[in-house]
Amino acid sequence: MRCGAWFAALAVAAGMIGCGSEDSTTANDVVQSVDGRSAVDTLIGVFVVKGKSSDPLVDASYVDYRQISRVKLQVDGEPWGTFSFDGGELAAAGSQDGWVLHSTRSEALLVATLGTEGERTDDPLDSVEEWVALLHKHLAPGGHVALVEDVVLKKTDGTFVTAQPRLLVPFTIAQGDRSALLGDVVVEIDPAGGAR
Amino acid sequence: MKREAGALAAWTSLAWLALCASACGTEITVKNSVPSATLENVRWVTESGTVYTPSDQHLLPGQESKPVTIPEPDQDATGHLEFELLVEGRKVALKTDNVFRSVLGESTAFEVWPKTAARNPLASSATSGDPQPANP
Repeated sequence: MRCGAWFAALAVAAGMIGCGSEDSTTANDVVQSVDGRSAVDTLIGVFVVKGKSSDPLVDASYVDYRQISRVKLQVDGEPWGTFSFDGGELAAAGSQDGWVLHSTRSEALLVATLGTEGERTDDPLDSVEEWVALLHKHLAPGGHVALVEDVVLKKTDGTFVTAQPRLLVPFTIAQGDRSALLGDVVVEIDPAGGAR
Repeated sequence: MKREAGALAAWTSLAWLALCASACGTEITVKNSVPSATLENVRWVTESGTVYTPSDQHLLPGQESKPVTIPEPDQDATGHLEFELLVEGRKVALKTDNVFRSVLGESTAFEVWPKTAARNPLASSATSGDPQPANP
């Protein structure tokens, strides 16, 4: 009887933990390392889209960071995910052909954490094999290469264009790291000719 | 006299049923059928909230736990499995969407497969979905 009450209390406690869920908790947030082994699951970088000009006398121009909609990454040849930027609304006033350009860098913060892609598309991990795949997917210490596969940009008229820069970004993970720094990721596009 | 005999027969039947149930023994085991993953701290939590835990707290791929005897109130109960999924030094706590049912007087193996629907309560969204049959 006493045992039953204890189990019931345990179950209530488990229920309370379940009720405490938050929308912002990603699948990767709930993964724990049991032996202190390095398990990098987050890539951080500063994302800049630079306008390419065919005229070398024209100063470089930078696309406003709020026009960067999302980016698709691979790491070591495997899909890492598609990550959205939430830069807010951008007024069309002063734009050139749908682009808001600056003479100085306009930077967006890229935080690419494994497991966030599925949740953003309302497709949470919901089977044991999907969780096994997530647990397998982490980066060991050493050298790695990220590939910026696609960059989706939003013009001021609301249309989207996709650039495929195929930009390779090498990075290194040290023992004990929990995230990896990609540094500056500068993607060049030709605003006049549309995205590549 | 007839009434007394009837009552005695009813009591005898009930006692026989209870004896049979306890003698046959309702048991459950949990089997890990997930390649390359270990199940830890496995427990079966019935709909009424009672928790049954096999003595083996570490089930390697293909391994089946020792049986757990299920007492009378839960001998025909349904519940969900909760466990920690361990892969390459990383683990996550999961609860199955699948419902597992004990069968009165029988030994039932609850098998966790790669396709078994399972979520982490903290990471999953509000949608829980309909219960699904165990061992799809």
